[in-house]
Amino acid sequence: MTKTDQKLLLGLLIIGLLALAGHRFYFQSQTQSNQVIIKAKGEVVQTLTLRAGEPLQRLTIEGKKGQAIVETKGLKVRMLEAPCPDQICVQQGWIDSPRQTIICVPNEIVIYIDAEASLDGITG
Amino acid sequence: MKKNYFIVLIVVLVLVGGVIFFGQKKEQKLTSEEFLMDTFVSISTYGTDTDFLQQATKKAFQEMRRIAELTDRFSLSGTTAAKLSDVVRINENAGIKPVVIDEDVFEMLQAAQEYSQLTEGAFDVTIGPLLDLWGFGREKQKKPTVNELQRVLTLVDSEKLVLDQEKQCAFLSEQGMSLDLGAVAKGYAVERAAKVLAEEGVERALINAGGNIKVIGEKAKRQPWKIGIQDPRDSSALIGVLSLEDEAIATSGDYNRTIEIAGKRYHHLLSPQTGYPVGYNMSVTVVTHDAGQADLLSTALFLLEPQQALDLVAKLNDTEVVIITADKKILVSPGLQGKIELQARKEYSYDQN
Repeated sequence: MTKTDQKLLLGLLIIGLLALAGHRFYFQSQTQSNQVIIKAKGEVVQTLTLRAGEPLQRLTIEGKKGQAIVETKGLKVRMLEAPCPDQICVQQGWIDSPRQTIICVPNEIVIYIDAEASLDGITG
Repeated sequence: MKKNYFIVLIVVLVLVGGVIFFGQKKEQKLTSEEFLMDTFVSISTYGTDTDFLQQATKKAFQEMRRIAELTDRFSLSGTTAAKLSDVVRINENAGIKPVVIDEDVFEMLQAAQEYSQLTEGAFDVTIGPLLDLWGFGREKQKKPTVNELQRVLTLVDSEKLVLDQEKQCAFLSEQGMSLDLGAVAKGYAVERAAKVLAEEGVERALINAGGNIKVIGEKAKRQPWKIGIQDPRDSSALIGVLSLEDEAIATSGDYNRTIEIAGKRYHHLLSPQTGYPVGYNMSVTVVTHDAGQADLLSTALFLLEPQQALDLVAKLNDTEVVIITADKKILVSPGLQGKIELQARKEYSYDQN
């Protein structure tokens, strides 16, 4: 192997490493947290990062019908109070896994735990 | 001299690499969401031109809104006669006169009637009076008395829905009858939206209207879409995951749209024979090409005994099913074996038949 070859190899290696580093930048390893997204009337109104052991937290969200109260504790989140007639969202209780959603149709509020999607959708 | 060559070589390599890395238009995912037809609808499209994806998605939502307006059973207060939905007009003219309707509504009613026959009356689109009696979709709910049920059940009969293809008319022949397209319209709207996206030239998309899902193409090259089937008794768990491309999937479950009367839960999938919620199954998931058919069939099959449902599926083209029976058995039709990755909790049993 000539010196030029060695340099060439080194150059290629550096390019490869750079590409790899860039890739890693996009696909950061996951940590123990839940990314919660709250949408009201079609807009994202809150993005929260929930971590295990965090204390109780309450947020007021303005929906189509009125104010709703969302509660978080540790890694979980729930609809505590909602002005909707059916109360389906409140009755659903806590959610804590990346594929779960709480949807309040009358008040147009969506709460979901985001995940680097291993799934594209859920039927049920 | 050699050194110069080397530098030139490195520069060329970096440039070529850069062009390959950054010159390619990046694939984008565009997701839009709306509340429509009493549910949460999301459309995700994939491509390099977001303006184009945005335009196509807008048109798809427009089409869904059009179907929603045609099929809504409850007219908004203050709606003018000209703006009443086709379903409201048919219901208001029950026992009075036939009504000219949109061809999409006509198509839905034809399909509904066909499945009413295929299920020997277990599925019935004239279920409106029975849903009203229980109070589904209404402010107040109550458990009907035997007398009330007997009276109302005579009004639930698809054979009294008269369709005239030539005049594109529909007529409910008895006063007090009413249609409810809850088991039909959402899936139909999803299929129409998928057609709009395809016509616009979108090659990869996913439309999800509250679990009524249609996928267009593959998610990426040689990568199918992954769709989970919800565990009927634990919303954080899955029964399994299906790999789909260019297909539709829908589920009817006893855990959706329930009402509580005197501490007891009742679901909305009612038997036109007994008037009570049907209890053979916890959920039925249908996979087929047409989203309208998937929606309608998931309800129709839910209302049948598991074996009867499997027998009917075997007679239908390009239709597969996953049934979770009331005694927690998972039944998978033969065509899905190999396409489904089961991951149900231990309390479910899977019988490979």
